[in-house]
Amino acid sequence: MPNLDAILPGRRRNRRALGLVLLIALVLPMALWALTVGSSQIAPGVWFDALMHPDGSREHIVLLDIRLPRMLAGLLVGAQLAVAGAIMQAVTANPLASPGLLGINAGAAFAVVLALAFTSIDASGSLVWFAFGGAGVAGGCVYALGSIGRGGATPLKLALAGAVLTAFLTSVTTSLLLLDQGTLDNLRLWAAGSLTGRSLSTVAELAPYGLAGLACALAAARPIMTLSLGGDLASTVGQNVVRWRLLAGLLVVVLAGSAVALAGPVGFVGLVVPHAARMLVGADYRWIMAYSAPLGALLVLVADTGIRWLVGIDLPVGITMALLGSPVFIALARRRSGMMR
Amino acid sequence: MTEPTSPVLLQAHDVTIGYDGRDIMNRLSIGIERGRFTALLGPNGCGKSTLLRALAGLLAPRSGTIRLEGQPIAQLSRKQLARRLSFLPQIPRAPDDITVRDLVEQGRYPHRRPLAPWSAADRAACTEALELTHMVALADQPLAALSGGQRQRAWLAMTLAQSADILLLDEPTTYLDMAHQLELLALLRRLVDERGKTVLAVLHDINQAGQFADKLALLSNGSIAGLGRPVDVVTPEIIRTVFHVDGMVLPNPMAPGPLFLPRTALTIIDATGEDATRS
Repeated sequence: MPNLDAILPGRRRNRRALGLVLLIALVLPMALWALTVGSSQIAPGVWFDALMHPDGSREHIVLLDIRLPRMLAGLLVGAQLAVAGAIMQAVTANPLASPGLLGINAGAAFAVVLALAFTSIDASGSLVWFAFGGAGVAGGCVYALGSIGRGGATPLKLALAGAVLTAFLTSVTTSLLLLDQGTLDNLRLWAAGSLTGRSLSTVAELAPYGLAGLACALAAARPIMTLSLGGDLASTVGQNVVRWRLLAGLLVVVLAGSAVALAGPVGFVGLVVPHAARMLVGADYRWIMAYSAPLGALLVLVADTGIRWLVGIDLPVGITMALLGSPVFIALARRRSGMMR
Repeated sequence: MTEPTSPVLLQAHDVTIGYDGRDIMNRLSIGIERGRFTALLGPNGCGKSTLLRALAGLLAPRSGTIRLEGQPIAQLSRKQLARRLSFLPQIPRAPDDITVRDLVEQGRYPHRRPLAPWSAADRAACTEALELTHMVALADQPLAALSGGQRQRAWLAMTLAQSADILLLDEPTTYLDMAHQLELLALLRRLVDERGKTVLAVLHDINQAGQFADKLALLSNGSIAGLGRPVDVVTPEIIRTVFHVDGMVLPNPMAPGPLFLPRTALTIIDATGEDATRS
């Protein structure tokens, strides 16, 4: 992001830029570490051989077909959900906005399960469009429900509408999965939010959507920052608020929808990471979004890998994130409760 | 005595504005003169903010048109309008931890293309806005750390960074102490005199308005009850009609304008039995 803050005092800008570089630099060693963690011990050096000269040995197959896609999926899902959450918090001026809490993840998951149950579609590249549709419809419903009555879409009403829709969609999704005897275990894991069993081709099919979404989000960071001032002020400084809110919504749908298509509805990443980024860089959403991408990637990767490394149990990352995220959510809600009314 | 009139720059023509099926103002017309400081006054709930929001293009009139140099503002894009006209709401809100500088830079939005770098003009406009409002030393403070007066100046700096000819300000002095009120009004006066800006501000203190503004517009129940120079508009009869306050008008011993000395409120209960002071 060149020249964004040309008149900022150099020190603060340099510190933010340095922090961002450090975070991004941290991703690579953590990703390599994730490749070494699993039920079988594989020496840290083997991944290089496996990438350069795959020889079909068991170790190489485990690395390339199981651990590599899992690691890549974790990075993508984390970055996408975190940036989607940052966009939502900016656009709604709502500290509790996130794709998980406002029903977007649940909508995407529901649409994917619906497609799997009632159509013969099972390619990720097609399912992702159902995820986009589900995410968009759910997001629209929550916004419409939350806007009813006095004061428009207040944070509290949005959060309530999101909770109601999430509860409803999640129970219907779960019922569909339980009733359908043919459902694979993999799909049930996916519905809880899991990185297990993704193939490299699935990751390759879905990554372009996520990466395009991330690139567009960072390119649109400036107008998104302006949206965070609220509708009136954004309009008076010359922003076409309706158009940019729609575009921001579209970005959220693409980012969260393709993340859900890849790993199911993983919650809390989109809520917690933008807050962590805000603590590091302040209220500037250009920096919050830039920091959210590597922070989210690291959080999901470490949560997914760390639990296996610590206790040796392969817990779906959606559940790990819920265990980590619930206390943070309660703390945030208590601290911000004054703002929610 | 010469009438210091100037061509009309911003005009509401025959506008009817309402919310939820209730008309706040009916077929109102008013012209704001170029290069003048016009103060808009009236009792609570008379539609001052509504009129200002309509003039700023934030509220579409049910009928009638708002014109900027003769052109209906509905034909302008938000960006085109923002280059000509800036508006400061009564209680602006922004994320608490945003810094003054980041806020002021937002004022450059209408002058920047997507992805274009920060230009020398952008930098100059922000620096000038911070200097005019005496906010240079506080530029890197978060908004939440500022006093009410400083915060109001930060908002004004953002509005000034927009480099628009027209400034619409909704009660810019309401939450300030007397010294900060006078300082802000003097700044608005300077912007008009030295920069040729056109200022329309909602004010509450008729004597301050008479001292600093070129023109007063008095609004009562959604219609213009008086528009003109302070000496022409501040009369016991007009004040009684608009504000329901009895009093007398004296020449201001310190400045050219008139001075209104209130004696008593006539009544605050209007004909419908409702408290007319509701906001």
